[in-house]
Amino acid sequence: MMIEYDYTTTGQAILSELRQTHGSLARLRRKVASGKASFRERVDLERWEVYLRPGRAESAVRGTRGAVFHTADAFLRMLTPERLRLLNALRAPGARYDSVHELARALGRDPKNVLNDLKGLAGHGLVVLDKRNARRTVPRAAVERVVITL
Amino acid sequence: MPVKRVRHAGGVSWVHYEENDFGEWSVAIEPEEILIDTHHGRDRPHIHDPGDDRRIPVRNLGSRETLHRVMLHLVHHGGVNLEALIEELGTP
Repeated sequence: MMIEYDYTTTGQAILSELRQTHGSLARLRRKVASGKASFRERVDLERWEVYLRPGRAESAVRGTRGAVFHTADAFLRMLTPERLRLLNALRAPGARYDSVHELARALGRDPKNVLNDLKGLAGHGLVVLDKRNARRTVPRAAVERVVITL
Repeated sequence: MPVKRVRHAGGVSWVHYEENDFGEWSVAIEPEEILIDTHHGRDRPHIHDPGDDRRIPVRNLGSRETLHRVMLHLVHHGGVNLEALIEELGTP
């Protein structure tokens, strides 16, 4: 069982995301040089260096994330009915939620549970949590197309 | 002897592809930790296997086709069989 989802972004957005995740390029380079970096950190360093090249920050970037589920349980754990409902709410035409609380109210769910589910989906790149300040996080869908293959 | 790694993070393997306007693309497989990329914009994609220092050139199938072949490989093998993957992607 597989799911694929597409997104578009820009080089500049990738650089911002890398800075938010890792702090600074120098810090990430040190970590990779120390031999203690994870695979994701090593890939991110390569991406960072690519997007600093001339013209790359302004370039459009097309991405796809694909998940291959080796068991049905793994699929059902990641995409629970509530998470699917949440994703559909974020992707509905004209949908806009200015906070996690607003989304939770619309769904009739506890905000803490909605936030947990959003974090789970964000971990897989399906949603983005835009933390505006200490008290407000704006959730939005990060993908344009989701294809499920059984 | 074929190398088979079947490491799942909770029964899921992830494949992440990205391509920009300059034709630079990469396909990364987690948790098996394999990266296939155009190596900073060189024409020929390589498989990087962090298990050793190898960088194995493969055919330039284009990012989308490489992505789909990798996903089918994961479904078929239940994980990464590195030697089979190299054979499937082909050497240039």
